[in-house]
Amino acid sequence: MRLVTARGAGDSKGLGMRIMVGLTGLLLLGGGTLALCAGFGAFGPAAAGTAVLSPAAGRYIADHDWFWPLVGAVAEVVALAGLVGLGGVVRDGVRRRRPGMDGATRMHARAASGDLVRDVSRLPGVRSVRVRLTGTASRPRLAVTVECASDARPGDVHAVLGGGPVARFRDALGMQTLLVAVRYRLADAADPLDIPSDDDVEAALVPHARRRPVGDGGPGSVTERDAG
Amino acid sequence: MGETLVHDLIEETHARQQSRRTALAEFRPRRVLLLGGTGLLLAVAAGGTAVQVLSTMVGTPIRIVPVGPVAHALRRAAWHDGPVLAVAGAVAVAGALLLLGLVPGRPRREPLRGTDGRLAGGVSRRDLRRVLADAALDVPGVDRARVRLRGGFRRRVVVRAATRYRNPANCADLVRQAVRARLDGFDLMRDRRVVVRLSWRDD
Repeated sequence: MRLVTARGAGDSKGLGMRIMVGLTGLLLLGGGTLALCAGFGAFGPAAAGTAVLSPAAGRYIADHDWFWPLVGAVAEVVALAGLVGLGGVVRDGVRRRRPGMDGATRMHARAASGDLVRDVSRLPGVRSVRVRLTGTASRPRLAVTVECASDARPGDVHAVLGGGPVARFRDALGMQTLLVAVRYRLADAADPLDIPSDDDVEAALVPHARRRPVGDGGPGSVTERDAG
Repeated sequence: MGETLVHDLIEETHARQQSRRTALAEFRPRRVLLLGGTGLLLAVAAGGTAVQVLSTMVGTPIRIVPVGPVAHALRRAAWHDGPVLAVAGAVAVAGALLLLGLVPGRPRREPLRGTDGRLAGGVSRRDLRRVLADAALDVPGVDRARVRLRGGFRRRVVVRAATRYRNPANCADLVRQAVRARLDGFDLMRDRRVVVRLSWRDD
Protein backbone atom coordinates (compact mmCIF):
# COMPACT_ATOMS: atom_id res chain seq x y z
CA MET A 1 0.00 0.00 0.00
CA ARG A 2 1.32 3.42 -0.86
CA LEU A 3 -0.06 6.56 0.64
CA VAL A 4 0.89 9.56 -1.39
CA THR A 5 1.69 12.47 0.88
CA ALA A 6 1.71 15.58 -1.19
CA ARG A 7 2.02 19.05 0.17
CA GLY A 8 -0.33 21.68 -1.11
CA ALA A 9 1.14 24.34 -3.32
CA GLY A 10 0.37 27.01 -0.79
CA ASP A 11 1.72 25.18 2.26
CA SER A 12 5.03 26.94 2.60
CA LYS A 13 4.29 29.95 0.44
CA GLY A 14 5.03 33.13 2.30
CA LEU A 15 5.84 31.27 5.51
CA GLY A 16 9.00 33.31 6.06
CA MET A 17 7.13 36.52 5.40
CA ARG A 18 4.38 35.46 7.79
CA ILE A 19 6.96 34.83 10.51
CA MET A 20 8.47 38.24 9.86
CA VAL A 21 5.07 39.94 9.99
CA GLY A 22 4.30 38.08 13.21
CA LEU A 23 7.56 39.19 14.82
CA THR A 24 6.97 42.77 13.69
CA GLY A 25 3.46 42.68 15.12
CA LEU A 26 4.68 41.26 18.42
CA LEU A 27 7.42 43.90 18.63
CA LEU A 28 5.02 46.75 17.89
CA LEU A 29 2.35 45.44 20.26
CA GLY A 30 4.86 44.84 23.05
CA GLY A 31 6.60 48.18 22.63
CA GLY A 32 3.38 50.14 22.38
CA THR A 33 1.89 48.37 25.41
CA LEU A 34 5.02 48.98 27.50
CA ALA A 35 5.02 52.66 26.53
CA LEU A 36 1.32 52.94 27.43
CA CYS A 37 1.97 51.24 30.79
CA ALA A 38 4.84 53.64 31.48
CA GLY A 39 2.71 56.63 30.50
CA PHE A 40 -0.23 55.61 32.68
CA GLY A 41 2.02 55.07 35.71
CA ALA A 42 2.14 51.27 35.85
CA PHE A 43 5.86 51.50 36.61
CA GLY A 44 5.41 54.32 39.14
CA PRO A 45 4.76 58.06 38.88
CA ALA A 46 8.47 58.80 38.59
CA ALA A 47 8.80 56.68 35.46
CA ALA A 48 5.72 58.33 33.94
CA GLY A 49 7.33 61.77 34.30
CA THR A 50 10.68 60.70 32.86
CA ALA A 51 11.68 62.01 29.44
CA VAL A 52 11.31 59.54 26.59
CA LEU A 53 14.99 60.02 25.69
CA SER A 54 16.37 60.35 29.20
CA PRO A 55 19.88 61.62 29.98
CA ALA A 56 20.77 58.14 31.26
CA ALA A 57 19.92 56.66 27.84
CA GLY A 58 22.01 59.33 26.12
CA ARG A 59 24.96 58.56 28.39
CA TYR A 60 24.59 54.81 27.75
CA ILE A 61 24.73 55.36 23.98
CA ALA A 62 27.69 57.70 24.27
CA ASP A 63 29.63 55.29 26.51
CA HIS A 64 29.29 52.24 24.26
CA ASP A 65 31.05 52.41 20.93
CA TRP A 66 29.34 49.28 19.59
CA PHE A 67 25.84 50.77 19.88
CA TRP A 68 25.53 52.52 16.49
CA PRO A 69 27.35 49.80 14.48
CA LEU A 70 24.96 47.27 16.00
CA VAL A 71 21.96 49.45 15.13
CA GLY A 72 23.23 49.77 11.56
CA ALA A 73 23.83 46.03 11.22
CA VAL A 74 20.40 45.10 12.62
CA ALA A 75 18.73 47.65 10.36
CA GLU A 76 20.52 46.22 7.33
CA VAL A 77 19.46 42.67 8.18
CA VAL A 78 15.84 43.75 8.70
CA ALA A 79 15.82 45.71 5.44
CA LEU A 80 17.26 42.74 3.57
CA ALA A 81 14.69 40.40 5.12
CA GLY A 82 11.91 42.81 4.16
CA LEU A 83 13.15 42.95 0.56
CA VAL A 84 13.45 39.16 0.33
CA GLY A 85 9.98 38.73 1.79
CA LEU A 86 8.50 41.29 -0.58
CA GLY A 87 10.18 39.56 -3.51
CA GLY A 88 8.76 36.22 -2.38
CA VAL A 89 5.23 37.63 -2.16
CA VAL A 90 5.50 39.17 -5.62
CA ARG A 91 7.01 35.99 -7.08
CA ASP A 92 4.25 33.82 -5.56
CA GLY A 93 1.64 36.17 -6.97
CA VAL A 94 3.17 35.97 -10.44
CA ARG A 95 3.58 32.19 -10.26
CA ARG A 96 -0.12 31.81 -9.48
CA ARG A 97 -0.96 33.50 -12.75
CA ARG A 98 1.81 32.67 -15.17
CA PRO A 99 3.71 29.46 -15.88
CA GLY A 100 7.35 29.27 -14.93
CA MET A 101 8.14 26.20 -17.03
CA ASP A 102 10.04 25.44 -20.19
CA GLY A 103 8.42 25.71 -23.59
CA ALA A 104 8.19 21.95 -24.19
CA THR A 105 6.19 21.40 -21.01
CA ARG A 106 3.87 24.23 -21.86
CA MET A 107 3.39 22.86 -25.36
CA HIS A 108 2.54 19.41 -23.96
CA ALA A 109 0.13 21.02 -21.53
CA ARG A 110 -1.55 22.94 -24.32
CA ALA A 111 -1.99 19.76 -26.32
CA ALA A 112 -3.28 17.76 -23.35
CA SER A 113 -5.63 20.48 -22.20
CA GLY A 114 -7.79 19.91 -25.29
CA ASP A 115 -8.83 16.49 -24.02
CA LEU A 116 -9.44 17.85 -20.55
CA VAL A 117 -11.61 20.68 -21.84
CA ARG A 118 -13.54 18.30 -24.08
CA ASP A 119 -14.11 15.79 -21.27
CA VAL A 120 -15.34 18.42 -18.85
CA SER A 121 -17.47 20.24 -21.44
CA ARG A 122 -19.46 17.04 -22.02
CA LEU A 123 -20.54 16.83 -18.39
CA PRO A 124 -24.16 17.79 -17.73
CA GLY A 125 -24.68 21.44 -16.86
CA VAL A 126 -21.21 22.56 -17.97
CA ARG A 127 -21.22 25.47 -20.40
CA SER A 128 -17.61 26.38 -20.81
CA VAL A 129 -14.21 25.50 -19.42
CA ARG A 130 -11.03 27.50 -19.18
CA VAL A 131 -7.70 26.00 -18.12
CA ARG A 132 -4.44 27.72 -17.34
CA LEU A 133 -1.18 26.07 -16.38
CA THR A 134 0.69 28.05 -13.72
CA GLY A 135 3.35 27.43 -11.09
CA THR A 136 6.82 26.02 -11.54
CA ALA A 137 8.19 22.69 -12.67
CA SER A 138 8.57 21.60 -9.05
CA ARG A 139 5.15 22.95 -8.05
CA PRO A 140 2.91 22.87 -11.08
CA ARG A 141 -0.65 24.09 -10.76
CA LEU A 142 -3.55 23.96 -13.16
CA ALA A 143 -6.23 26.60 -12.67
CA VAL A 144 -9.54 25.47 -14.14
CA THR A 145 -12.64 27.64 -14.36
CA VAL A 146 -15.87 25.79 -15.06
CA GLU A 147 -18.90 27.84 -16.03
CA CYS A 148 -22.07 25.94 -15.19
CA ALA A 149 -25.75 26.45 -15.85
CA SER A 150 -27.75 27.82 -12.95
CA ASP A 151 -29.33 24.43 -12.28
CA ALA A 152 -26.11 22.41 -12.57
CA ARG A 153 -24.81 20.16 -9.80
CA PRO A 154 -21.16 21.17 -9.24
CA GLY A 155 -20.70 18.32 -6.76
CA ASP A 156 -21.36 15.76 -9.49
CA VAL A 157 -19.13 17.60 -11.97
CA HIS A 158 -16.34 17.72 -9.39
CA ALA A 159 -16.66 14.01 -8.62
CA VAL A 160 -16.40 13.09 -12.31
CA LEU A 161 -13.55 15.54 -12.84
CA GLY A 162 -11.52 13.95 -10.05
CA GLY A 163 -12.29 10.48 -11.31
CA GLY A 164 -10.85 10.55 -14.82
CA PRO A 165 -10.05 13.73 -16.74
CA VAL A 166 -7.61 15.14 -14.21
CA ALA A 167 -5.77 11.84 -13.81
CA ARG A 168 -5.47 11.53 -17.60
CA PHE A 169 -4.14 15.09 -17.84
CA ARG A 170 -1.52 14.33 -15.20
CA ASP A 171 -0.52 11.13 -16.99
CA ALA A 172 -0.26 12.98 -20.30
CA LEU A 173 2.07 15.54 -18.78
CA GLY A 174 3.91 13.10 -16.53
CA MET A 175 3.21 15.40 -13.59
CA GLN A 176 1.67 13.31 -10.85
CA THR A 177 2.09 16.14 -8.34
CA LEU A 178 0.09 18.60 -10.44
CA LEU A 179 -2.27 20.56 -8.22
CA VAL A 180 -5.60 21.25 -9.89
CA ALA A 181 -7.68 24.13 -8.55
CA VAL A 182 -11.20 24.28 -9.98
CA ARG A 183 -13.43 27.30 -9.67
CA TYR A 184 -17.08 26.70 -10.38
CA ARG A 185 -19.17 29.61 -11.56
CA LEU A 186 -22.91 29.33 -11.84
CA ALA A 187 -24.86 31.35 -14.34
CA ASP A 188 -27.47 33.72 -13.04
CA ALA A 189 -30.88 32.46 -14.13
CA ALA A 190 -32.30 35.98 -13.88
CA ASP A 191 -29.56 37.58 -15.94
CA PRO A 192 -31.02 38.69 -19.30
CA LEU A 193 -27.54 38.77 -20.81
CA ASP A 194 -26.89 35.16 -19.86
CA ILE A 195 -27.02 33.25 -23.13
CA PRO A 196 -27.74 29.52 -22.79
CA SER A 197 -25.68 27.06 -24.75
CA ASP A 198 -26.97 25.47 -27.96
CA ASP A 199 -27.52 22.17 -26.15
CA ASP A 200 -29.64 23.85 -23.47
CA VAL A 201 -31.76 25.58 -26.09
CA GLU A 202 -32.24 22.35 -28.01
CA ALA A 203 -33.11 20.45 -24.85
CA ALA A 204 -35.70 23.08 -23.92
CA LEU A 205 -37.28 23.07 -27.39
CA VAL A 206 -37.32 19.32 -27.95
CA PRO A 207 -37.17 17.77 -24.49
CA HIS A 208 -37.40 14.08 -25.40
CA ALA A 209 -35.64 14.04 -28.75
CA ARG A 210 -32.90 11.52 -29.41
CA ARG A 211 -29.61 13.27 -29.83
CA ARG A 212 -26.53 12.44 -31.75
CA PRO A 213 -23.40 12.43 -29.58
CA VAL A 214 -21.34 15.54 -30.09
CA GLY A 215 -18.16 14.67 -31.98
CA ASP A 216 -14.75 16.21 -31.61
CA GLY A 217 -15.37 18.81 -34.26
CA GLY A 218 -19.03 19.28 -33.49
CA PRO A 219 -20.72 22.34 -32.11
CA GLY A 220 -19.97 21.79 -28.44
CA SER A 221 -19.76 24.26 -25.61
CA VAL A 222 -17.75 27.41 -25.86
CA THR A 223 -14.27 26.62 -24.63
CA GLU A 224 -11.14 28.55 -24.16
CA ARG A 225 -7.72 27.21 -23.50
CA ASP A 226 -4.73 29.00 -22.16
CA ALA A 227 -2.46 26.20 -20.99
CA GLY A 228 0.94 27.74 -21.11
CA MET B 1 -9.51 -9.65 0.75
CA GLY B 2 -10.04 -8.18 4.20
CA GLU B 3 -6.62 -6.59 4.07
CA THR B 4 -7.40 -5.03 0.71
CA LEU B 5 -10.64 -3.60 2.07
CA VAL B 6 -8.84 -2.04 5.04
CA HIS B 7 -6.17 -0.62 2.75
CA ASP B 8 -8.83 0.85 0.49
CA LEU B 9 -10.61 2.43 3.43
CA ILE B 10 -7.39 3.91 4.80
CA GLU B 11 -6.40 5.26 1.41
CA GLU B 12 -9.81 6.78 0.86
CA THR B 13 -9.82 8.44 4.28
CA HIS B 14 -6.30 9.72 3.73
CA ALA B 15 -7.22 11.07 0.31
CA ARG B 16 -10.27 12.85 1.74
CA GLN B 17 -8.17 14.47 4.47
CA GLN B 18 -5.52 15.47 1.96
CA SER B 19 -8.18 16.86 -0.35
CA ARG B 20 -9.61 18.90 2.50
CA ARG B 21 -6.19 20.33 3.38
CA THR B 22 -5.45 21.12 -0.26
CA ALA B 23 -8.79 22.87 -0.77
CA LEU B 24 -8.49 24.94 2.40
CA ALA B 25 -4.90 25.92 1.51
CA GLU B 26 -5.92 26.80 -2.03
CA PHE B 27 -8.89 28.97 -1.12
CA ARG B 28 -7.46 30.51 2.04
CA PRO B 29 -7.09 34.31 1.87
CA ARG B 30 -3.60 35.18 0.60
CA ARG B 31 -3.16 38.42 2.58
CA VAL B 32 -0.91 39.66 -0.20
CA LEU B 33 -1.41 43.32 0.68
CA LEU B 34 -0.62 42.74 4.34
CA LEU B 35 2.49 40.66 3.67
CA GLY B 36 3.76 42.78 0.79
CA GLY B 37 3.00 46.06 2.53
CA THR B 38 4.79 45.00 5.70
CA GLY B 39 7.79 43.81 3.70
CA LEU B 40 7.93 47.10 1.81
CA LEU B 41 7.58 49.12 5.01
CA LEU B 42 10.32 47.15 6.74
CA ALA B 43 12.62 47.46 3.76
CA VAL B 44 12.11 51.23 3.49
CA ALA B 45 12.25 52.03 7.21
CA ALA B 46 15.13 49.73 8.11
CA GLY B 47 16.99 50.55 4.90
CA GLY B 48 16.72 54.27 5.60
CA THR B 49 17.93 53.75 9.15
CA ALA B 50 20.87 51.67 7.98
CA VAL B 51 21.84 54.23 5.34
CA GLN B 52 21.71 57.10 7.81
CA VAL B 53 23.60 55.29 10.58
CA LEU B 54 26.30 53.77 8.38
CA SER B 55 26.84 56.97 6.35
CA THR B 56 27.24 58.92 9.59
CA MET B 57 29.76 56.35 10.84
CA VAL B 58 31.94 56.63 7.74
CA GLY B 59 31.88 60.42 7.94
CA THR B 60 29.60 61.34 5.03
CA PRO B 61 26.20 61.60 6.71
CA ILE B 62 23.07 61.32 4.60
CA ARG B 63 20.25 63.06 6.49
CA ILE B 64 17.02 61.26 5.73
CA VAL B 65 15.47 62.21 9.08
CA PRO B 66 16.74 65.31 10.95
CA VAL B 67 18.21 63.71 14.07
CA GLY B 68 18.75 66.89 16.08
CA PRO B 69 15.13 68.14 16.25
CA VAL B 70 13.78 64.62 16.85
CA ALA B 71 16.21 63.93 19.70
CA HIS B 72 15.45 67.35 21.17
CA ALA B 73 11.70 66.66 21.08
CA LEU B 74 12.17 63.24 22.68
CA ARG B 75 14.28 64.77 25.48
CA ARG B 76 11.51 67.28 26.23
CA ALA B 77 8.60 64.82 26.06
CA ALA B 78 7.65 62.68 29.07
CA TRP B 79 5.96 59.26 28.91
CA HIS B 80 2.68 60.64 30.30
CA ASP B 81 2.37 63.35 27.65
CA GLY B 82 -0.66 63.13 25.38
CA PRO B 83 1.20 62.88 22.04
CA VAL B 84 3.50 60.17 23.41
CA LEU B 85 0.51 58.17 24.65
CA ALA B 86 -1.24 58.61 21.31
CA VAL B 87 1.79 57.36 19.37
CA ALA B 88 2.22 54.44 21.80
CA GLY B 89 -1.45 53.52 21.38
CA ALA B 90 -1.19 53.71 17.61
CA VAL B 91 1.89 51.49 17.62
CA ALA B 92 0.16 48.91 19.85
CA VAL B 93 -2.94 48.91 17.64
CA ALA B 94 -0.81 48.51 14.51
CA GLY B 95 0.94 45.52 16.09
CA ALA B 96 -2.36 43.96 17.10
CA LEU B 97 -3.75 44.45 13.59
CA LEU B 98 -0.69 42.81 12.07
CA LEU B 99 -1.11 39.80 14.36
CA LEU B 100 -4.85 39.63 13.63
CA GLY B 101 -4.08 39.70 9.92
CA LEU B 102 -2.13 36.47 10.27
CA VAL B 103 -5.13 34.55 11.58
CA PRO B 104 -6.34 32.24 8.79
CA GLY B 105 -9.53 33.79 7.53
CA ARG B 106 -12.64 32.39 5.95
CA PRO B 107 -11.94 30.61 2.63
CA ARG B 108 -12.76 32.77 -0.36
CA ARG B 109 -14.74 29.89 -1.84
CA GLU B 110 -16.77 27.11 -0.35
CA PRO B 111 -14.72 23.97 -1.01
CA LEU B 112 -16.36 20.92 -2.57
CA ARG B 113 -15.86 17.39 -1.33
CA GLY B 114 -13.28 15.34 -3.20
CA THR B 115 -11.22 12.19 -3.00
CA ASP B 116 -8.16 13.41 -4.89
CA GLY B 117 -5.54 14.91 -2.62
CA ARG B 118 -4.27 17.20 -5.38
CA LEU B 119 -7.63 18.43 -6.60
CA ALA B 120 -9.38 21.39 -5.01
CA GLY B 121 -12.75 22.67 -6.12
CA GLY B 122 -14.74 25.57 -4.83
CA VAL B 123 -17.75 27.70 -5.53
CA SER B 124 -18.00 31.35 -4.59
CA ARG B 125 -20.20 32.23 -1.64
CA ARG B 126 -22.06 34.76 -3.76
CA ASP B 127 -22.97 32.17 -6.38
CA LEU B 128 -23.98 29.73 -3.67
CA ARG B 129 -26.23 32.27 -1.96
CA ARG B 130 -27.83 33.27 -5.25
CA VAL B 131 -28.54 29.71 -6.35
CA LEU B 132 -29.97 28.77 -2.95
CA ALA B 133 -32.16 31.87 -2.99
CA ASP B 134 -33.41 30.84 -6.46
CA ALA B 135 -34.25 27.40 -5.06
CA ALA B 136 -36.26 29.01 -2.26
CA LEU B 137 -38.08 31.24 -4.75
CA ASP B 138 -39.11 28.19 -6.76
CA VAL B 139 -41.39 27.15 -3.89
CA PRO B 140 -44.98 28.21 -4.71
CA GLY B 141 -46.05 31.23 -2.71
CA VAL B 142 -42.58 32.48 -1.82
CA ASP B 143 -42.14 36.08 -2.99
CA ARG B 144 -38.83 37.06 -1.51
CA ALA B 145 -35.86 35.07 -0.29
CA ARG B 146 -32.49 36.10 1.03
CA VAL B 147 -29.77 33.63 1.93
CA ARG B 148 -26.88 34.12 4.31
CA LEU B 149 -24.06 31.68 5.05
CA ARG B 150 -23.40 31.81 8.77
CA GLY B 151 -21.17 30.28 11.37
CA GLY B 152 -17.52 29.29 11.62
CA PHE B 153 -18.12 26.15 13.67
CA ARG B 154 -21.90 25.62 13.59
CA ARG B 155 -22.19 26.23 9.89
CA ARG B 156 -25.62 26.91 8.57
CA VAL B 157 -27.54 28.42 5.70
CA VAL B 158 -30.01 30.98 6.96
CA VAL B 159 -32.90 31.57 4.55
CA ARG B 160 -35.17 34.55 5.18
CA ALA B 161 -38.23 34.05 3.02
CA ALA B 162 -41.51 35.92 2.73
CA THR B 163 -44.79 34.64 1.40
CA ARG B 164 -47.90 36.53 0.37
CA TYR B 165 -50.14 33.87 1.90
CA ARG B 166 -51.91 34.61 5.16
CA ASN B 167 -51.63 30.99 6.21
CA PRO B 168 -48.15 29.69 5.40
CA ALA B 169 -48.96 26.08 6.35
CA ASN B 170 -45.87 23.97 5.57
CA CYS B 171 -44.23 26.62 3.39
CA ALA B 172 -41.17 26.76 5.66
CA ASP B 173 -40.69 23.01 5.35
CA LEU B 174 -41.00 23.20 1.58
CA VAL B 175 -38.41 25.98 1.45
CA ARG B 176 -36.11 23.97 3.69
CA GLN B 177 -36.47 20.88 1.51
CA ALA B 178 -35.87 22.85 -1.68
CA VAL B 179 -32.77 24.56 -0.32
CA ARG B 180 -31.52 21.29 1.17
CA ALA B 181 -31.90 19.50 -2.15
CA ARG B 182 -30.07 22.28 -3.99
CA LEU B 183 -27.34 22.35 -1.36
CA ASP B 184 -26.84 18.59 -1.70
CA GLY B 185 -26.09 19.17 -5.38
CA PHE B 186 -22.96 21.07 -4.37
CA ASP B 187 -21.62 18.32 -2.08
CA LEU B 188 -19.84 20.86 0.09
CA MET B 189 -16.84 19.69 2.05
CA ARG B 190 -18.15 21.40 5.17
CA ASP B 191 -21.83 20.59 5.35
CA ARG B 192 -24.30 23.21 6.50
CA ARG B 193 -27.60 23.04 8.33
CA VAL B 194 -30.52 24.84 6.69
CA VAL B 195 -32.43 27.30 8.87
CA VAL B 196 -35.57 28.91 7.43
CA ARG B 197 -37.14 32.07 8.85
CA LEU B 198 -40.43 32.65 7.12
CA SER B 199 -42.59 35.75 7.33
CA TRP B 200 -46.16 35.99 6.04
CA ARG B 201 -49.07 38.40 5.81
CA ASP B 202 -51.00 38.95 9.01
CA ASP B 203 -53.38 41.72 7.91
